[in-house]
Amino acid sequence: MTEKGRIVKMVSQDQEEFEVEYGVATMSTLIANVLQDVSEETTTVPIPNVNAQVLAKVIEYCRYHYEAKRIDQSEEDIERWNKDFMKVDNKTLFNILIAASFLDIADLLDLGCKTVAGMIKDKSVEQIRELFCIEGDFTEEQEAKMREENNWGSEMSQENNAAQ
Amino acid sequence: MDPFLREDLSRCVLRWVDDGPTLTRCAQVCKMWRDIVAEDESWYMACRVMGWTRPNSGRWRRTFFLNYCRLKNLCPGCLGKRHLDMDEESLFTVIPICSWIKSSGLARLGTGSRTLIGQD
Repeated sequence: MTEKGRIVKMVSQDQEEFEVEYGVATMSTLIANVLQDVSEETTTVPIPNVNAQVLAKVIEYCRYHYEAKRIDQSEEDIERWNKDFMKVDNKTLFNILIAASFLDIADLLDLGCKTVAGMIKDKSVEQIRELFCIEGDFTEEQEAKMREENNWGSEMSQENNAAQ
Repeated sequence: MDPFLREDLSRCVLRWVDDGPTLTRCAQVCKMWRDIVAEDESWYMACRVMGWTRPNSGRWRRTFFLNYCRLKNLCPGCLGKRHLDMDEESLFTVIPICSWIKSSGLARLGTGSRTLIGQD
């Protein structure tokens, strides 16, 4: 069977099956490596760490970018599409990041990380903790010391906000 | 704790933060983030968006603070000694133009800076 007509069946954590073209599926380095190591008759690849909702989003991303490369889509169009693609709730966004990391899709991981980094910008320490459900593990003394040392950063941000 | 906060993913995200003030706030979030921000590569993006390049074998973090001081007319003492491990030549480059020194004497200078310019 040629790779062109080959269909790969991806099975999510919750046992939902997705039929995907070989070229699209192998945008994931993990899947490309798996398919290299098995016979051509093998078409089913379990993805145990990713649920159906997130896997569907990941496949949507891979499908668009596979096609965009094939038809030589303009950078502007791709950027616009990426921006729209990332308009999801935080939980989904974080899960897409985890999936991109697990499936080893570097471009998607970069896109997700860039999006999350943009969300952090100009947020206070408390707001960042809340966003990521992080509990501060510094002592009160350490926190006070760090606040004092990093005071220049807040001054700079206030200047920026005032300028905007 | 949210699994999103795995160290490798946190590192990937923080490498995309491209401004110094946000990075320093990230360093105050938790110990893991503090250690990631302390890694030199975390400062690459912040330098890149400003168009600052590091000298051969230089460090991104140092490049950021040195250029930031120059940009803001601040001396390294204003940012706290821990942010920067400057050599004497660099210190003397920024001290004469420091707006803090001009406006508030030497009150904000770190010990190292005071020693270098010969005042306590």
